[in-house]
Amino acid sequence: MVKQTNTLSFDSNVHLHGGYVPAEFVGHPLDVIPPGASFEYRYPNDQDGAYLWYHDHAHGRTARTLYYGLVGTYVLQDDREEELGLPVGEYDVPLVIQDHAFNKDGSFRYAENVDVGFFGDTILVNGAIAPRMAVERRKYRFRILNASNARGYRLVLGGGREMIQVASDGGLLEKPVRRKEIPIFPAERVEVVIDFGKFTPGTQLVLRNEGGEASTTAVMRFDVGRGGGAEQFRVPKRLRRLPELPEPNATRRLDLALQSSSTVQWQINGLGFDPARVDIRPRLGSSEIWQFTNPSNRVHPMHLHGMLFRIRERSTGVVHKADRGWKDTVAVQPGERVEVQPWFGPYAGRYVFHCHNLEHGDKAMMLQLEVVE
Amino acid sequence: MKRLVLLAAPALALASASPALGADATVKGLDTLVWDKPAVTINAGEKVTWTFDGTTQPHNVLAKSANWSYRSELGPPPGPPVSFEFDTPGVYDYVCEVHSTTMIGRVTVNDETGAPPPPPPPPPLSEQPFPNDGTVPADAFEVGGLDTDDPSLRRIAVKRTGAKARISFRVDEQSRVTVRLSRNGKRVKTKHANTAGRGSVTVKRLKAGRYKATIVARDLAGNASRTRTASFSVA
Repeated sequence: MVKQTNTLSFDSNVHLHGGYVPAEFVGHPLDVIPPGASFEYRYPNDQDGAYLWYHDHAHGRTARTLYYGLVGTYVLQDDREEELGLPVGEYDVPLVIQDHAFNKDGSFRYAENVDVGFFGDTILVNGAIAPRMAVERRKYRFRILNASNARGYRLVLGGGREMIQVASDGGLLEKPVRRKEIPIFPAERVEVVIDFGKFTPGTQLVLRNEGGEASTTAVMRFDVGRGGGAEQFRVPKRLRRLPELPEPNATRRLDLALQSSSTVQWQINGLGFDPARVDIRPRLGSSEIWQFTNPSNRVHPMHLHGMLFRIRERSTGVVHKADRGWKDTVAVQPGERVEVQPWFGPYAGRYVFHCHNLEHGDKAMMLQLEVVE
Repeated sequence: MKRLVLLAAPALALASASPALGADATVKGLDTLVWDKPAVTINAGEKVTWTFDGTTQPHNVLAKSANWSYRSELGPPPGPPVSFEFDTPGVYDYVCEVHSTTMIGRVTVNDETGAPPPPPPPPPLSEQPFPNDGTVPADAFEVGGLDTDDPSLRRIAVKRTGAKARISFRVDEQSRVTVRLSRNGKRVKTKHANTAGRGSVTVKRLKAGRYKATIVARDLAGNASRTRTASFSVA
């Protein structure tokens, strides 16, 4: 149970991103807490261990409230992870990556751009610009969250060093995936194990963003120290077995496009968000195939509340091994068609799915679904 | 630049019998999300034309100040040029609807004689530009690198007391040292020690026989030392 008190001067709420949460507590865009009031969110935490996060989700204002700081991480652990012996404690480090811009007086500067979304000129990691972290010569688990409004990153370690991805949005993958470059789009999470034991003491490794401009390339730096000690952990070959999904009941095509003739609005299948309208009404425990089709020239990280899905197919090539686990957000690239299979459960009720390019989601790239019993 | 325009307009009015002619302004919308001329000055009765040639993002013109009302069509880029005739002196603000916080423009309309209005106040601090031009040299992403040096294992010594043996050694970097004992060619015991510098393992309750100890050190990067051996007997 988390009691949230809204001390702001406007409506806000809390959305637990990636959590299996009953509809009344999930942070629907219209379930808001008025200024001065409180609400008790009850989170069952009845799901596999995963790197979740929470943020404000009051409709139409999310881009600004996240930008100005209403973001937190929520690490859910389980027995399986413990069994595997993944690094814990000070060796299990959450990293929240965001891009910002600043005014001369040091305050955040925000520029609304409904088309491409907000892109800042400075990268922050856990709120710090270009931080450095002293690491021991051993393995670390890093939980990386892209909490940027619209920017995607292609993360590379030093001169292309190996990172072993062990988990994505919905927790552990079936098998670890060795990667030298990791793309991460808004609201996505990746968890990697990095072995600093391989490097000589004094080595400096910059975690960098390959796709960035000059000022948004360096993300943070790891300074390899001397210590290391008796660590014997090896990333296991198998992490867990993912359950089979039920046979899909239906196939839906969801077109993502900018509507600009009467007003500027991003839409899904020609529709903007309307809280009075339910767009999809699946049965509890069933599943469907959703084909996100993106003819626009922007990336759309599509996110489903309160439930998880699996990526089945991409028109641009095979689904990367690291994207075959449970996901709650998938970045649909310009011109791409991505087929996902959501599992509608474990709770019934009204949920939404939307674009997590926050400027798109606010205006008004979001549809509503009601899971019925 | 602005002063030049302000001076040019009355000069034109003096030089010509019909001051409005030929003084229309053109403003270009750019994909860098700004207008090429964020502020233009015209005389009443003249018009401003906005062009969007070569753009790949959607832009339009939307009146922002309360003294006028205008919205040009937002179509697929590049949009066609649009224009508006300003007949009343005053200061008119507008934005691009899609990029409303950066594509901000202002049209100052003087009266027919070209008399300039009072200058606008400076923008608030939060709207003044502050470009972040810091760069990181491309070769600075990795200093140092992989540890490929093997540890060196030296000063192997065995001290035996009765059925107990202490095997000591020295490694030059943090390593896991593995000592394997075999008796008459058959492996009987394996012991580990983590150390940097001097270290030892002790084996107790050894049966009588001829023993061979095989010792190897593996550093944090997994590099292994040369294998060393030592022999001893237990009576």
